[in-house]
Amino acid sequence: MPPEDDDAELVKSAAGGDDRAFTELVARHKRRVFRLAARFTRSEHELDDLCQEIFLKVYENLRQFRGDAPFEHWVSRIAVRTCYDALRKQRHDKRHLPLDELPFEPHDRRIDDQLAAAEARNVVMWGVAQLKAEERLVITLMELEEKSVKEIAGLTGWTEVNVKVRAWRARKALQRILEDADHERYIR
Amino acid sequence: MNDTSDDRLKQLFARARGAEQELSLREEGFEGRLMARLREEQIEGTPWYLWAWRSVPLFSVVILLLSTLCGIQTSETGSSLFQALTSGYEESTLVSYYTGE
Repeated sequence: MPPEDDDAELVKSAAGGDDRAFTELVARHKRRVFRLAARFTRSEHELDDLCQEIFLKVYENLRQFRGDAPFEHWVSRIAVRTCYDALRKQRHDKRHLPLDELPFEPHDRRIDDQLAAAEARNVVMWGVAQLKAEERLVITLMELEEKSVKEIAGLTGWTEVNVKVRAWRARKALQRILEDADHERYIR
Repeated sequence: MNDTSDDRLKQLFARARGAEQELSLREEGFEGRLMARLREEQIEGTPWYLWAWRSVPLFSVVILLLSTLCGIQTSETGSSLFQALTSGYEESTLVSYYTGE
């Protein structure tokens, strides 16, 4: 049985109140949700909280899943919108560490390539964190998650033109932020 | 200048994509935590303030009905009060006439 059909059965059972079926759905899709949510959160606690919010929304809306698209796409849409809401709530909290004080995670230090990648990721995350919520969302989905304009439009509910305009603005704003912070020494 | 800047940004994103975050430890036990929160929210049910907001339309209708009812009663009372006053006045005029006061 293909996984989508399998998901559909589990969704039906979960919507009928079967908690085991819902737990199984969560286990199947949590990796994707964690990966996306980790792009927008600053701590483990925030990440766990955001992922819980996402799956609570999935649970509350299970009956509305019509099955005309794969379940994972439906979950991704909910995840993106919940992340966007979280970003909008964060917008007043503009405390940023100076670029020099960014933390590096020990597991990224294993080899030089990974260290460079981790450094680049931290610089990107630092810069992106200073953008507006919609710019942050669009640039993350486009450049880090490598989603197409059409996919982003589907996930966010924005028009494709809107996605392109917001992505362009986000890139320009990020360039300005990184130039002001003298990021060149971080791009070797 | 702009092209260079664009290229640098592309390069930075390409490098950042190469940094896979290790999330498996954070994912551990997530289902348990989620289900616990779900049960907690189910037990707590809807908070009272949500009920308060939801009953706003009902209260509005009740208030509207009450004010309409009061309005009708007031207008009824108004006319009967007028009658009472005028009949009282007529009576006292009659008494004054008969008693010669």
